[in-house]
Amino acid sequence: MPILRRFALVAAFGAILALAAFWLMPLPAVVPASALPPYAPNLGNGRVMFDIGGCASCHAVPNKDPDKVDRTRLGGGLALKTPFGTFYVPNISPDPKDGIGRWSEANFVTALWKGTSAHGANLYPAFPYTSYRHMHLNDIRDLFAYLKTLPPVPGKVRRHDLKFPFNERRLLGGWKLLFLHGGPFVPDPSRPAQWNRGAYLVNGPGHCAECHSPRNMLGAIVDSERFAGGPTPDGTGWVPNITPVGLQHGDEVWSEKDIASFLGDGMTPSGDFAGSTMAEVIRGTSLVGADDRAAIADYIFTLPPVQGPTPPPKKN
Amino acid sequence: MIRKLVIGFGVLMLGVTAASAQSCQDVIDKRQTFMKHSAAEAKIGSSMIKGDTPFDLAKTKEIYAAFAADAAAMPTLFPDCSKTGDHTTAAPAIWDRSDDFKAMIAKFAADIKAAQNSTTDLDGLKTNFQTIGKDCGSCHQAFRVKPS
Repeated sequence: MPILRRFALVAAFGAILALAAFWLMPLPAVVPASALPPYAPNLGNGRVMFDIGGCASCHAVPNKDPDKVDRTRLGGGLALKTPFGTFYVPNISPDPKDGIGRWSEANFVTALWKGTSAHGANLYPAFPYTSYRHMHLNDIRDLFAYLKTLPPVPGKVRRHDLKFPFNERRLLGGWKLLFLHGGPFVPDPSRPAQWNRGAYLVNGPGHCAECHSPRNMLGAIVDSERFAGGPTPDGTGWVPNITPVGLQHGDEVWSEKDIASFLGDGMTPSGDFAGSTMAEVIRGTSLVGADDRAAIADYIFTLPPVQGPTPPPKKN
Repeated sequence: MIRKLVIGFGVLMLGVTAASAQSCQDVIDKRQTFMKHSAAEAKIGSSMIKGDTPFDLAKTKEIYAAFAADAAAMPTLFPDCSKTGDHTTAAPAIWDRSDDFKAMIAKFAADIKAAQNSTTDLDGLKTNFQTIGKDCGSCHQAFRVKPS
């Protein structure tokens, strides 16, 4: 066989193998039930995880009037517009048919740690498992127990409306390989307990970086600019830099106390009140104890200064 | 003669449009000034509540008066022509759901009135500020967009 033809055949065969490997290899990982020791969940802590995790902010049945949203009815339906298309937030109420009523504890841990559904399908990182994977096992189990106390809400939410190739869930296996790293939070022994609690809440259930960081073309957080701000997912607004570059310069100068009280009542140092999506976050953080808010403020206040992307010039 | 009339009319129309364009711009500036003034007052109230400054009933009444002036003026500060321009962060929902917007302002006004009638000490300020602060947050959540 002529050299060129042989080369072409080998290249084609190689390409097919590579495609097959890419397609088959990243089979969604799961956490088996055998990995979960016997445990009596703490519902009070589950409620704290629920509030700081912001579950209701995405999963509660939406209402144009935010005061009318019932945070216990997690029937889903909220539309999240992103550069990849529109995600429709699923029903995670205990409804056995339309929600997660038939999920086991292990299914739930798998979803938060591995980004895999009870049916073994990859979940889209619009669900921020890239942060939730840092949560302690028992916190997740407490959260699951709390979710099961909420009312079942009937009604399946429609499928996501995503552009090709983002509508191919299999490809998320490759995405996870590239961008899903690490595991449950490990405290820094050189730091005091409050700082570690703050670091855990911010990087785990609080998932603050998911909004407050810029993302690359594949929708993953740019690690070197974590917390340095970026465009909102729908591209219409700007989420601020919460490293000292954002908090210590500009119109508002924040103290650590300012951050803690802001998470309680939404008021900024200048007397302004958070609006838009941050107001929604405050609805959750305002329910969390002062100690936890102080811990979050402690950690955020010690973030190294990072210059993030420049927001576009203000439109006139 | 006709020509003079036409030119005169044209100039008049230009003047009217310029005047109304300016007043639309004015409206945006005016409401932003109102809001910033309320923020400054809120900051004074918050400082008293946190214990950084001593409670002062006269100052508290001023704070409530500023909020009340806000609430009274707001229904008139969002004409149709002021949807865009001059860094406004007023959300389209203000016009799409104007009944809800007006209801929110009415609640704000009612809560301020209740605060004015019931606040005599720091505890009163704390309790009423919680309610009023929630009004600020709720309105901003539904009717204010992020700067883009």
